[in-house]
Amino acid sequence: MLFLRMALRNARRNLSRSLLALVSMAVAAAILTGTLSMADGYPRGAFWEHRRLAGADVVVYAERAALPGPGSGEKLQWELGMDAHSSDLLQHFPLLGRRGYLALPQVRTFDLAQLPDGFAHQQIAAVEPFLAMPVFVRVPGSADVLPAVLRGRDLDVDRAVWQLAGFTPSDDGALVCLVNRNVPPGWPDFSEHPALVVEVPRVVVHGPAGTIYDYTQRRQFILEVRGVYAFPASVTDAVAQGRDAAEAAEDPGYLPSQQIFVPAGTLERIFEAVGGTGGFRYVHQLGVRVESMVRALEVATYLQERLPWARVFTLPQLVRAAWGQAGQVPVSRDVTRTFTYLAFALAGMLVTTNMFILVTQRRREIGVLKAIGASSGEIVLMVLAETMTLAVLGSVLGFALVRGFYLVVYLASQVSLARVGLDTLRVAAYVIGLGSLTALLAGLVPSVLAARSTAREVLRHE
Amino acid sequence: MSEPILKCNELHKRFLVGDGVDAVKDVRLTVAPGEFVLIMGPSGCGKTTLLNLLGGLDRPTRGEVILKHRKFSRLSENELARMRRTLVGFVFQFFNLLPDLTAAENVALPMRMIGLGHEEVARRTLELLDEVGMVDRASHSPYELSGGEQQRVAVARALANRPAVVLADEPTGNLDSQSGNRVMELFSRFNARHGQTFVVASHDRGFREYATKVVHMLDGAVVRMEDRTGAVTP
Ligand SMILES: Nc1ncnc2c1ncn2[C@@H]1O[C@H](COP(=O)(O)OP(=O)(O)OP(=O)(O)O)[C@@H](O)[C@H]1O
Ligand SMILES: [Mg+2]
Repeated sequence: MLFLRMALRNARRNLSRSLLALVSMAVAAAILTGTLSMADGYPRGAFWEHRRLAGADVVVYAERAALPGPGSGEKLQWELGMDAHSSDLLQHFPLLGRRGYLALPQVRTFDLAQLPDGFAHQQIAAVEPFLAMPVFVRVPGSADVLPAVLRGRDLDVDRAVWQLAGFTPSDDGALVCLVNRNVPPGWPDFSEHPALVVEVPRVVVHGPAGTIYDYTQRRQFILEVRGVYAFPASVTDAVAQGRDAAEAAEDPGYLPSQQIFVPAGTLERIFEAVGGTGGFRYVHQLGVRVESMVRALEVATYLQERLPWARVFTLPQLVRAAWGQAGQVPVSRDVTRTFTYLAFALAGMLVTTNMFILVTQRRREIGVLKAIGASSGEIVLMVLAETMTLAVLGSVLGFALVRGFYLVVYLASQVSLARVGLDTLRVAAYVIGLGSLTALLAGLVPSVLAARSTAREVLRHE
Repeated sequence: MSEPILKCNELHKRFLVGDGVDAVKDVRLTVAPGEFVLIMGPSGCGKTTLLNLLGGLDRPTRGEVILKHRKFSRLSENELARMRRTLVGFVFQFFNLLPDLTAAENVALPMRMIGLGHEEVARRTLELLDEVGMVDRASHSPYELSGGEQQRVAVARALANRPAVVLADEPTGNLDSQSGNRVMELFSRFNARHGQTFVVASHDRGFREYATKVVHMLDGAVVRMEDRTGAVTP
């Protein structure tokens, strides 16, 4: 107790030196907190999505962002499968993509003819019905037929979002398509062929209950390949695929997808040709683009009021649900880890230096304590008490500042308080624990050396 | 003469620098309880080194120090430290109060280190500060005290645990004569009133009048031992 008080008073007396140690610890803790919050923390992977989408338009999804699946219950479910027809989410969650989709047990369709006219929120930039049809594709001359999905793209809207290349407004209604630049595993590279053969099942019913297809009756269309598109993947995903992180950050990487893009008008033409009537009226999902990510929640609330039966999700909410279901995706933390440990090594060195200065300044004092009868252990304790106090204060400070920032970010994207709390505790324990450990290791050598120097040389001369 | 409280035989200290410096050469000394021993001699004659050896702050090259039947050579560093807590009080030339503690806390420190109860520590601290005339400065930090005042607090600290012996190295060396006299009077008062044993190294001739024994050193060796109670040994 007394030693602790002496340590604290000494820290206060040598304020600038103490502050230096404290700040270096705080910086290291801040870096670690940031790293954990970003790469390892909360919610897993969401950061990358945020980043990928920052500054771009953000989709507020209506219920149909999640597609029907065989499960039951109220919650979103993660279904394993390759039902191409159901993989709309891939477009927005490329990371989810390859092996499944999100499903809601209860399904309703949006009747485009009866959408509330109140979609006039000033934050809403565009409302996009997502149009898609299950099809089978093959390269002309080949017998290999692959399941795929034909997607209609609104040329005006989508160009901005996905930077589609190859369509012009005059293509609307023409039999043209874009194929993914990245070929899904097992697929031929469609982009090397001038045209694709698409077999479209007959539409039996298109109504409020959804669209029912008869897959035994198909009609062939030949689509001219106009070009390629690509879905940027997140950095994490690219790294998970074994690419260099720095390179991936420059070029986010692109994901394979089995979707064939056609202009919206073209899709409607095909739809009518296979028995659909009156164009797409009942759609599975609505994408609502908002002006700013920050206001997404507000828009979602607004939409929810007007579509009480629908479940409206913001992108971060869906990402969270998806990550929760999909489990952890391998995130390369090597770079951030290294960085973090370097920061702590540096902080540790500063602390060590500080401690050496401290014990040099306090040589006489330590000698006096020994003369009075303090044991080496007590002297080590006193010196370490000061180091540790500074280190813990610094760690708490660095943690609180950075974590506070992330808390604001994550609470704004509507994360459950319980999870935020738990994760915050975990990160706090890690950061402060590592900070204390660093300080302990850094302070140990100087304090032991100080305790071992004999009192006689200390007391001899001024 | 009563059983010595502090004793050393053929105490020798050689510092291994250059050709080697024999700072203390075969010193034999016995200190009886209640004695006031003054060690005198020119600068560099080995007074500080001898005191360090007697207090267990340094280990002799040869010889033995025995304090209250404890042979220092048999004690580990930590045992020596524990021994100092209860048996030895130090007073230094440069006062050496702990700068982060108040006067009272400095005095209380040795008592707290041996685990005395709070109330007893508080009571005895006051008592000691009173005896050295520093009660009204109890809560002052060492920076706020003059050299003489600091030294009086240091004396109180050295006496806190009623040590078997107080070792003082030039306790007046850094004080003006008036403050020095006050410290000397304190020593003599504790010696006379409480029978406190002192071993003081000093150039200050003023101490002679209080000393029961004066040890004259030259070049590390005791050249003359003056027993103020009578006899002089060569
Ligand atoms: N740590 C050491 N290493 C080497 N030599 C030392 C050491 N300490 C003391 N000495 C030498 O031992 C001799 C005695 O020193 P000491 O300090 O004991 O003398 P002193 O009588 O206390 O002198 P003063 O009156 O100036 O304080 C001196 O020659 C000194 O140089
Ligand atoms: Mg000396």
